[in-house]
Amino acid sequence: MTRNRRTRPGHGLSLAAVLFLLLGGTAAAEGFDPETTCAVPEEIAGTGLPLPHVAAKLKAREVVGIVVIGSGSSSGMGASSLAEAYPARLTGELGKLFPDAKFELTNLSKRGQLASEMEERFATEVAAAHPALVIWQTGTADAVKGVDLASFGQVLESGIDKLRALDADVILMNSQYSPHTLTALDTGPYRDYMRWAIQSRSAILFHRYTMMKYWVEEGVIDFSSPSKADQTRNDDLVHGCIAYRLAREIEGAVKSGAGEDAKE
Amino acid sequence: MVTRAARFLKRLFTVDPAELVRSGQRDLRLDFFRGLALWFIFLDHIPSNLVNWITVRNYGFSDATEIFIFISGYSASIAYGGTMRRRGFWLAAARILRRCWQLYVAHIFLFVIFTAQIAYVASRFNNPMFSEEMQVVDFLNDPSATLVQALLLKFRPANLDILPLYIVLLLVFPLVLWALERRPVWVLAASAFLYGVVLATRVNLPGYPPGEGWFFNPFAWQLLFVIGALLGRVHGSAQPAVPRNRVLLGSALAYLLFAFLVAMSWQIPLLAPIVPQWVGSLIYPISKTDLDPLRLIDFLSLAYVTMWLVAADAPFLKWRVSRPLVRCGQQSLYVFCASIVLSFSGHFFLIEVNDSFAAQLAVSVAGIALMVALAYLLGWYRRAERAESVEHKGSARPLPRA
Repeated sequence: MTRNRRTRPGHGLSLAAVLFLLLGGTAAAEGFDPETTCAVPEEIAGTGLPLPHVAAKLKAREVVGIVVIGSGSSSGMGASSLAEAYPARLTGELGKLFPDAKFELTNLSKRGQLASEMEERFATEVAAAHPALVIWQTGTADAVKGVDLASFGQVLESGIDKLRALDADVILMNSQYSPHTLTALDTGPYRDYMRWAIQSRSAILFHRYTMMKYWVEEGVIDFSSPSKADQTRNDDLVHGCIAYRLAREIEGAVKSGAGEDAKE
Repeated sequence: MVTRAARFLKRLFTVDPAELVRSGQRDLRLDFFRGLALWFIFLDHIPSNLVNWITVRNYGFSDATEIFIFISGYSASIAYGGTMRRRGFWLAAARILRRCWQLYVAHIFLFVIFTAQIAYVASRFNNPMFSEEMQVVDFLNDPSATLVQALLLKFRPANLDILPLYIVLLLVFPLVLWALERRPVWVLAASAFLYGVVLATRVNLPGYPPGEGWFFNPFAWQLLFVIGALLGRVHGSAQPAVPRNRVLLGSALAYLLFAFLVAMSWQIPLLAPIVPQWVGSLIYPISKTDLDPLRLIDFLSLAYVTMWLVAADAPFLKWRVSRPLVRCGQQSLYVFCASIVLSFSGHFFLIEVNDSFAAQLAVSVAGIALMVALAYLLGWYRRAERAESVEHKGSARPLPRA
């Protein structure tokens, strides 16, 4: 495990892979009321854990760099367009909550990438974006391939360490709730290891699986229709709700840590 | 206290074979708890089912797999130990291998049903949102490799992992049983040593795709099977199998409480802070693949408390309401296969037709009712066959139990 501890350069704006700069509300305008539609039970609504680096940037009125690194769902699969995928919509949602702040989002997700493959890119591509926050979505591709659980757990731990060494806060995002593949694909053990990784490391776990399961059970979304139009509507809704919930998680974290200064 | 434990261990390892020959009475506890494990396995295999809240895995580290493997070792030792003592090694070995073959055929049958269901889902649902998840069915595109690897037990889809484990454990069981009859201490020592090697090196049987091991590592899980087989040897003798020791009981209960609290912290995120960070970094991860010591101790504590609380002649085992569980436990292979098929179908119904709580309850009850009906049917058939063979031969020699 090589730890790449870099000196902290200034907040460069010369980013290579900036997909999205702050814009107001995005395409998902028509009748989307996330506060009621995307409601979840209180115990998964927000962890209340702090994001000190994000809070510090906001306080200093500096640009908040966010990197999303994940696999298929984060690269925009399912959404009707890239702009409808949750990473792109996240800046819009954050803009509503922090109207005076500036967020810069870099999406480095690639379909089918394993946790170990993403972790190899932390010191290079992720570091180059100088993020204050890294949203690391993983576990699905590893479950599909049946990656050994113990080594998956080790990659999570060393990966979080590497990101922390970049002076970034970390949000881990677990798998999607995928009802049709449940009997063939068990992401449960991988989600367990993610839950355990944050117990020994400082990171926030975003319970995407439990949220999507809740929305399906509540009838907010319905994946059983084979019609293309229904699918697209549901998929965009999920991406929108994920973006909304992520933004609320970040808001809660910043507020909970508002009293104290960011610790290095 | 210590001397009592020492006496028990001594008895366990120096049991008089003559005493064991007459262990005729069937222990209903085995059937009851194996039946319970089968019901739990069925419920746990329907992921979108709220009813699986009642199963044991939510309240500690271990789950129904441990119960199933332990009782399988225990009853294999009862069923084939007697044969080996009375009729010799070769007949016992032949019977064990015949059982092994039945399990293998059952596993391949389940694999075919599983594949058919997956193929249907893959052809009907292609929501791009789940295209990454759907890669799990890519094995359908390469039947030549997949089928051969499945026959070799190297390719085992999720939820079809328990039978292959049971198969390889039984495959070497003739030798284990032979050694258990002669040098039980050595067998336990060798088994524990192998388990230790796994913990240190993570050695595992090769799987498919290449590079990945078995989800249930047989080199680790064999320890539980051997412990079961060892305890099964003293089954039916006059003394209780396990000494009643209050300190041991207290430690077991304390450990179960600890496991319960930790497990609760997984279910209810608000409770997460009750596990301090240093405890978390000490105990996590808890490997199911390698039967983590935390799981093993959890199950052994549970088994000890159960043996303490439930005597072999506990009245509730003979109550009418216990009969369905006992019957399922007595027909474990068929009921197990049925439970897998039923959990696939039940899950399919829930995601395709109706996923309300009423539907989840109905699917759970209907599935268990069908498992019970199958067990009664098989029991009736078996008794009828036995009665006929008695008529023909005029002898009342009981059929071997398995």
